Amino acid sequence: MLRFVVKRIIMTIPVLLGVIFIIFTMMFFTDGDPARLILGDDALPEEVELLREEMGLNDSFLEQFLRYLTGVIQGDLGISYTTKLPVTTEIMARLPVTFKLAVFSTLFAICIGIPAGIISAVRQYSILDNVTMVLALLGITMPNFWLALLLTLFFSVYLGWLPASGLYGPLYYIMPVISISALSVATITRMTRSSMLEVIRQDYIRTARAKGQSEGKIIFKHALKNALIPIITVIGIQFAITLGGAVVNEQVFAIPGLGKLMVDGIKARNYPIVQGGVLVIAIMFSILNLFIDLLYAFVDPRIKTQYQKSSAKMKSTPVAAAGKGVSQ
Amino acid sequence: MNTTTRTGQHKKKRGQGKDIWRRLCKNRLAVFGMIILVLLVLLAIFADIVAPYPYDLQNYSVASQFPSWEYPFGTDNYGRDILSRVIYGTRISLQIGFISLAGGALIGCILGAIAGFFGGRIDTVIMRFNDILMSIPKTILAIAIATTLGPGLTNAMIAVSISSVPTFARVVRASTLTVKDQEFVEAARSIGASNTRIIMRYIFPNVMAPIIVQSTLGVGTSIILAASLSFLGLGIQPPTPEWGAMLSAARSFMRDQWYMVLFPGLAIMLTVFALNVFGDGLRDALDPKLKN
Repeated sequence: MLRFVVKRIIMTIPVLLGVIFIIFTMMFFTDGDPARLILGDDALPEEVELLREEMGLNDSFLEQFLRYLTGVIQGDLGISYTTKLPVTTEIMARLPVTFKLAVFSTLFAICIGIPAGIISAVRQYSILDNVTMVLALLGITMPNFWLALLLTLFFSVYLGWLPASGLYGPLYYIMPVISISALSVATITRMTRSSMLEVIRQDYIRTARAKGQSEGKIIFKHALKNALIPIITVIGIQFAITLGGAVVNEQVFAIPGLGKLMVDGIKARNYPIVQGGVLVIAIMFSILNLFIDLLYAFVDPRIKTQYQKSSAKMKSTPVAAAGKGVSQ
Repeated sequence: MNTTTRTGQHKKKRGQGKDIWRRLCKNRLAVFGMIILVLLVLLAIFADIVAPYPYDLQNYSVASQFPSWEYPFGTDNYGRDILSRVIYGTRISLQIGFISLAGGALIGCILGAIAGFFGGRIDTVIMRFNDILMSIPKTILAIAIATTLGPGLTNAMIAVSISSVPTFARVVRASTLTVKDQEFVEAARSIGASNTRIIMRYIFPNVMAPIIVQSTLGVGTSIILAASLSFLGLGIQPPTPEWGAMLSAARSFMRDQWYMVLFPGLAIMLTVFALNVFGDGLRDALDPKLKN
């Protein structure tokens, strides 16, 4: 088991290096001269050239990449063009907001989605099931930023119950969390339902019924435990989706998070900020995937035994299988 | 001999197609989705005829009007008819959805098939690259690409395309792996078929079902993703009547003109809804075993 954990952690490193490389390359080829952007339009060409030299912008792509990479490893993501503050400082100031939003949204999605899915599966084809499925379909088809706008219209403009922008207290979280998590609630509900339906038909459930086990115990102890495995995978994906959703929705609710920082950065061509933001999100997501894969191995005894039996096959079986699940 | 096998195969294919079609037609929701889709496509094609006004006709004397008989969806702050803009928006959103998905699917399928079919080092390289792209959330990846390329319709499509590549590559690779060791592939190889021919003629037809399902569901995701990009100001720029861009512009007026926010969003929802129920129906029709 320890070897699985270590191997999985080591596997994350090349992926993260790759992410850094791709993001650096993308921003490298974005047009606009950073030196010109910093100095403004009325700077003399000589001044711009001097700053380019100073910033190392005349070095080759590889040199610049290696410098950036060394910086990233040391926690230095460059300097913001507009505020002249270190990008790391700026991101760290905004990250908790976005992280909180994404975590609350994911938790909200789990707390609503799993029970809703269980009820739907247990009472398949009932009115409750149909209503839940229609709502889930709505959640999947609605763009989250539009839902955010509608919620604002209804609860802030029309009823005046909830604050429309900012993030100063618990009340402020309600609308952003609902709109960010709508898609995840829907996906988790559907996933839980279909996973439960599959498990409920298994022989061991019939056995449990036959031996007179109570219905509640059958559902929660026998069925849910087994149905949970695919659901865990989906939750990892949902976290990525809520992160993306948070970035868009921060714009609607004027929340000073990472997303707003990035979008403002894009508008001001402040690329170190954008680059750093994408990188931090990718790192968070990779670490979460790592945890989910590990959790997966602990929850699913099949992966554990598979690994214990044949450690040589490792590469092609459990890691690949576990990793495969976590996608978008 | 050759002709007989050909026609034999043809017959079988047609039979299968009929079966799938019959199963699809039994699913009322899927048929409903299909009808909406057909209507939307017609709307997109005949937008010039159907739309009551040109999408960019500004008439300040009727600016910011509430929905009425003359302007069923109201008018925006420039006095443009929102209904006409929503109708023209169908053209743009469907175009983005289908083209960007087709691009992403094509690249993803080729990469996935190569990775799954050849295995070994090339598989490792492609899949590692895929893992890297997948470790950036889709929306963020699209935002990053759109930033690099700059705003605009084509660039938004490229951004959405690239972010849908990894999913396809993974799906196709997995299906290719299950197919490639089967006897008919071995048979094809034994009569001397080239790798390209084997992939095109024997592997692809057999991994088509997951690709089709992934595609129908993917078009909806692509439309929402493109709308999100435009909403953030990174995608299609005004005055082009793209739904996301319209929502973005409407935000400043929504306190008083709620209808400006309502209709473009409804249009996105209707389109994605139709694609989703159709896609779900298609999945059940293609693989009856999957249905609960």
